[in-house]
Amino acid sequence: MKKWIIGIYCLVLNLVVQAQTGDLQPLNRVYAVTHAFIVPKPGMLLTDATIVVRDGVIEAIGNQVSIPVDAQIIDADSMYVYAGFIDALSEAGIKKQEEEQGARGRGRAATPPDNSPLTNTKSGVTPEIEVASQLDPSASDLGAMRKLGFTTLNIVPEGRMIPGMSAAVELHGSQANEMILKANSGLYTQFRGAENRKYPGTTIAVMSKWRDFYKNAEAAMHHETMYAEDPTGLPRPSYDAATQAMYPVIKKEVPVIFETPDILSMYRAMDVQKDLGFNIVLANVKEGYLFTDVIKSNQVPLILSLDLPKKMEEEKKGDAKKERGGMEKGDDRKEKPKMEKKDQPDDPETAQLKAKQKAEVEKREKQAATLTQAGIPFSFGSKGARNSEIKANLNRMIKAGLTEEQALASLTTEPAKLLKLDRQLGTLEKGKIANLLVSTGPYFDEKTEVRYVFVDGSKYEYESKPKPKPGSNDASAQKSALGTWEYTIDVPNQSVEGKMIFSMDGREIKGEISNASSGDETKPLNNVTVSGTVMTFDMDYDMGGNSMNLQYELNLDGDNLDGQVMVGSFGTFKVKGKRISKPN
Amino acid sequence: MNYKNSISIALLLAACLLQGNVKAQLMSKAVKGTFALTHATIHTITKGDIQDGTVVIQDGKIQAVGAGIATPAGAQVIDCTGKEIYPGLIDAGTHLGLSEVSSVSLTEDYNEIGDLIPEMQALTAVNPNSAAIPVTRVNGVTTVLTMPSGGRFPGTAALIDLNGYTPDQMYAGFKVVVLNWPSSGGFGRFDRRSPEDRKKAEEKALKDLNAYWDQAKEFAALDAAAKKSGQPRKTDYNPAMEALMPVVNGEASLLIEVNKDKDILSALRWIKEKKAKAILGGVSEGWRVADSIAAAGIPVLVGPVIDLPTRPSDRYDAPYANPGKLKAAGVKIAIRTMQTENVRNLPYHAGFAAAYGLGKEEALKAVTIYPAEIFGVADQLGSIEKGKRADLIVTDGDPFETKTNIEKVFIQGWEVPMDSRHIQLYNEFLDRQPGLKK
Amino acid sequence: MKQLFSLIFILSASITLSWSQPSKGSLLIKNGTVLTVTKGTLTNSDVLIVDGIIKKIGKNISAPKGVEVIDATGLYVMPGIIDAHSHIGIDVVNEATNPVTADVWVGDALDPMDVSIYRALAGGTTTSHAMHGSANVIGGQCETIKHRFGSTNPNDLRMDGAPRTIKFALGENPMRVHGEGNGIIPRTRMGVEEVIRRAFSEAQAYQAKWDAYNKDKMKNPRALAPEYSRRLETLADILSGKVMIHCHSYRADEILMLMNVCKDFGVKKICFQHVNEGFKVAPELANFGAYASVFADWWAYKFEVYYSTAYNAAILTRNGVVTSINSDSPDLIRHLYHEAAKTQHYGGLSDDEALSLITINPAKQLGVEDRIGSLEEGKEGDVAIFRNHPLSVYAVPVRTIIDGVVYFDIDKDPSDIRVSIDPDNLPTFQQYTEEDRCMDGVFEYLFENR
Repeated sequence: MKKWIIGIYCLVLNLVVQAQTGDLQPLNRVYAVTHAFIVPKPGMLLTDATIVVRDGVIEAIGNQVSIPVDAQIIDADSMYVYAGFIDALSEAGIKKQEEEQGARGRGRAATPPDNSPLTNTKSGVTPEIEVASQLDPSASDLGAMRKLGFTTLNIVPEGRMIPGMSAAVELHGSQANEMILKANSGLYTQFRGAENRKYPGTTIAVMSKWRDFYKNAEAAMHHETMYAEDPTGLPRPSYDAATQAMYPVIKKEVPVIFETPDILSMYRAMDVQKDLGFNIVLANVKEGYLFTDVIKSNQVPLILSLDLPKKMEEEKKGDAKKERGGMEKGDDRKEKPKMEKKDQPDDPETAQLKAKQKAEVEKREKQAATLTQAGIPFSFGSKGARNSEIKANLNRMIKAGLTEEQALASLTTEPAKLLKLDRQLGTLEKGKIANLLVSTGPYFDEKTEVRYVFVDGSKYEYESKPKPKPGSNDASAQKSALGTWEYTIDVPNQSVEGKMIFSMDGREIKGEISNASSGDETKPLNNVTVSGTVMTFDMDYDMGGNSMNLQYELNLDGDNLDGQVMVGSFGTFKVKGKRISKPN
Repeated sequence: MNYKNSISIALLLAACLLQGNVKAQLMSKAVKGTFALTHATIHTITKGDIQDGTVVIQDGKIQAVGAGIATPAGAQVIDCTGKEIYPGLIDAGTHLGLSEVSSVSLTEDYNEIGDLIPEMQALTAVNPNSAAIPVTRVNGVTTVLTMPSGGRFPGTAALIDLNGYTPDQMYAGFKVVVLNWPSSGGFGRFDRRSPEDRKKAEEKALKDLNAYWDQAKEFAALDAAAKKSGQPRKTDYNPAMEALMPVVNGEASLLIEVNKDKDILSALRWIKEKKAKAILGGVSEGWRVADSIAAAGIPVLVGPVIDLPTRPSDRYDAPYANPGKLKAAGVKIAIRTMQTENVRNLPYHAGFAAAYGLGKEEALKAVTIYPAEIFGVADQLGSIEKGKRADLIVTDGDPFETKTNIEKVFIQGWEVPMDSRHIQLYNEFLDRQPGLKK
Repeated sequence: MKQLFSLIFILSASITLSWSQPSKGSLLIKNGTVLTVTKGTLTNSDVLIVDGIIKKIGKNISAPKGVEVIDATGLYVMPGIIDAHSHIGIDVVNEATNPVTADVWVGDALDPMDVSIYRALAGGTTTSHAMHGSANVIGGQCETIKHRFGSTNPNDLRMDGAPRTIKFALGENPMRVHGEGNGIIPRTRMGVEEVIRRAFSEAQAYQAKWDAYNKDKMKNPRALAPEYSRRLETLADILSGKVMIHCHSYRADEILMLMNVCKDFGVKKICFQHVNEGFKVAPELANFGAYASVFADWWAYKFEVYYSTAYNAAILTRNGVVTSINSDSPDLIRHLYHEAAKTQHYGGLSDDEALSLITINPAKQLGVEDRIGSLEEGKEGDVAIFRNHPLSVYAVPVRTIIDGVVYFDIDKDPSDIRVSIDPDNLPTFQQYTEEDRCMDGVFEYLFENR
């Protein structure tokens, strides 16, 4: 995986650098977005309205707004304007943390085991860590989230049991500290054991350590308080950063954001909370519909996951086929002893198992709607979800019963309230921070694209995505693409090289791509289509949990190809290639 | 062994101890002779039950069996009034004698390095003095197939009688090359491979298997040609091919270990194509494809029966009911434990199979005559008939029931001592001397 | 401060208690052969359960209005089977990071959706002792659970009020994990003893510090609490008798060692687990009053069990040790009735003696013998109904009942019992291998950096 990061990261980093050394500076920070459909808050719609932002703050909004003379005007006729989305649980922008190389592989430890006394840090208890220290403002997933319409992310640091304090981060700025809107928005914690075979390793040890650590922190706080009032006669406190970081939590000024992606972890988080008494938020919730009674009676704030399991399609080829081993008579394809039967109906057992699986997927899709029906409010968090799927997942939830209004609220007003930033964020009102999302239509419509995003009143503009040419995918056209190709992508100051391999899989063409630094490791290409001499495909690239989609469009000419690849919002770059071997 | 009997034995042993240097830990000896077991209920298996019958054992064989038979002169008469006589039970798959303490890897002798090693002989690695052997036979299991495991062709399994001091003395007349069918399933909790990786591994394994088979056929062809021309066969030393030759020629059996339903079907197709003389072993998901197995006419060594289901969505009794479902579809089955030190539980595996659909009669056959037939030794084993080897047990009831005492065990016509490490420890410690106070 | 913590603990325990409201039912089981275990066998008799409690046992009981009747004619009715050593229903078995981890508690990570629970029910087992594994000399605290399968709420499994227990382990397992695996004590049985003595001594010192503080606090409002340690607090609770030791052990000498250590530190109650060589020190065990929970016939899988015997349970019973048969396996827990029956083969125990090994005796070892373990009026309605006598190899459990609610019915056994469904994958084939359950999770932990 690391080699891929180096390969594509270089490509992307170059593009980011490009953007920054771009020569255009904004003229001023005053904008008027006019003639738009404006949704100041969920459930309210202004038609043909205007919103004016100045120096990062909303100056005016309404139908009768007079446009200031120094405003840059954006005619947003038939576009929709929403308050910028707030992601209540994100891991975007976090630099991957170097972990101590522990013993790997079976057998004896490769390095002699470390039996020095266990510190809080070694145990994974690091509440003193702040997001600012781990945030990389140039990380591409920040930009990717912004392109979806998010303006504020509640980012959590990376770590083990208690990785540190989360922070609300505005998606604009080149220095980490500039971007922090609110540090210490919550204490992030998860059921993840320490590295290097250290205590606590398992869930039960994490729960035990939580109680130990918290109680000792309470005692330390008491000690420090007494000592500050009157030190005489008392031993002096040991001012431990990790312990001190807990004081706001103990005082209930900062909530604990507990990541609980399944029903059992929710019970366990609440068990710890009941023992210790801190304020709790349950985050990355996927099975909340099994916990409604407890959530309701304890009024627990929730952050639902934007991730959903794959939708179960009715596949023609796929699970239904009965694979056969052994050789078929006269079959000289010794490489592939298996033959796939298509369109075979499932036996009753498999049909029943699939039905149960499908019902489970549907329950997850319906989670948001179920909670709303139970009168439980929630925010959304993107941690663990692929960027490219967020909008599609929201639409699946809407199809399963969540109203668009509720979806919008969970992306704006609810997280603003959760983060105690509702005086500045969540709705479009005079005086609030100028975080706007401008889309070509109602946000949840499939064809709608995000055209502008304003963060702290600074404008970001996005061109519309070129649509992939619909392919006829006829066999002769496909044949011209088959084989192994060497390619080069021209990026300023650099070029990315690698191989692409296209082969037939039944009646469909499939492709894989590798780059020079990843060696033989390949990634699959999606939607490979050949129409005449034009081949298009796209590829997903995950970096730190957020993903980008690279779109290729190539012309085939004998054993040569040339074309372009579009890399997110950074633009398109030339691709050249040569076939080096044909398929057998 | 019940409380009273063992106290008597303890006292008897104590009496012997007073005599001299006899160490209480030594086993008493097996005894060969002419025996007449009289007035018993005899379960012949193949020819019904005989009430108030007699079995005469002589020169290692069943000399006569029936009601009202004359006792030969000089025979030791054992009055079995109220007792039952069964053939010695046969376990169709174990690692007995090939491993002593499973956590101590150097005591484990059934898993050798290599993918193509059919020539590895389980028989010669059997430890005739394994502590587990007496423990097994006092429970009525007299004959077992002991098997190698490991790579694709891990070796040759052997049928052994649980009496004798050398593997040759124990050998019971059947050997079989083992083939571990490429599995498409996961290897348990520690198997972290993706489904794609597993599929690739399976395809490669099948490819390799076919390559082995093809080369063995080549080898056999060369051998046949050489024999025909009267010339010596000029091939390099290749014990694996030597071992596979009778198998690819269809002369010797091939025991194919396979469990997943999909794999069983692919194995059946392969067997048909290769024209192999196959036996299937394991077959834990056989109930899903029982009709196909029956249609192919391949016998099955099924077990362990007392085991967990293979999938979390399976019914709780899937393995218990497996033998019954196979039998109902028309498959010929033998039951096995696949145990090392607890092969003695074979009667209980059979009992569970009986309770969950197989029925007592078929279960009894599945641990006597059916394995004998499948192994091609039915002329010697598997039932109480004149001329067969004297492998018999004398019980006070149904051998599948835990309450039943196995009172006597005869293997190859020898009366084996009803003694084992477990019994010796019982005798020593039931009433320990010194006790609490020295 | 410690009292404050105890207060919090009590309060939280009561709050947790209020979460679990397991259902209680009423049933009339009619005309069966009732094996009470403690009060003989009754033929053609009835058992009436009302609101989860056995109200009456006798002949010709009439069903109160609305109470379901189960016709047990020709069937055998016995107390629900109790397994004193199990690892089902929990997500974590071993916290193998230290030879002493007394603070962790498997009850913090119950998994009510484990299909093994249902499969245990299908074998007549209603209660099990969910234990920490044997990777550490002093492992984690355990939890006695009832197999109330079908819910997603882990609290539904809890047997509220059951005494606290903790897992100890002697012999090869902790030596292999810590000595051989990590180069720390213990690597030998000498080291194992030292670890226990040291832990107990540190606990005594901890308790002394806190006692001093609690006293000091009365007159000095500025008294500062000593460092709080759940680990040492739990160890102190063992010494004061609040937590009972269940010790995985095999060799005779290590069994004796622990009894001597207990004597030195004033620990009176202990149950040895597996204790394959218990029969070699049966008089000492009986004299101490120690309990033993053993396998029916497992042996030779490790060197420390190479010299053991299937007659272990019979010898211990005959020498006056309260003995039970356990499973330590998701397979064996489904047929403990068969495991117990083996003691009739190896040692000639009577029917009631054999049945005691899986009912009233494990109940005693878990401290719940006043609630379950026999069919007596006033006890909880945990019942297993069999076709054929449970000690017969042909026994088939047909109904399993907990607190008067039927949790397993062979006539209504669905073909896919899972409560927890993976939305991404269909269930896959997995070849089960009988490994040493007590080492569950250790290899993954030792050899993978998570």
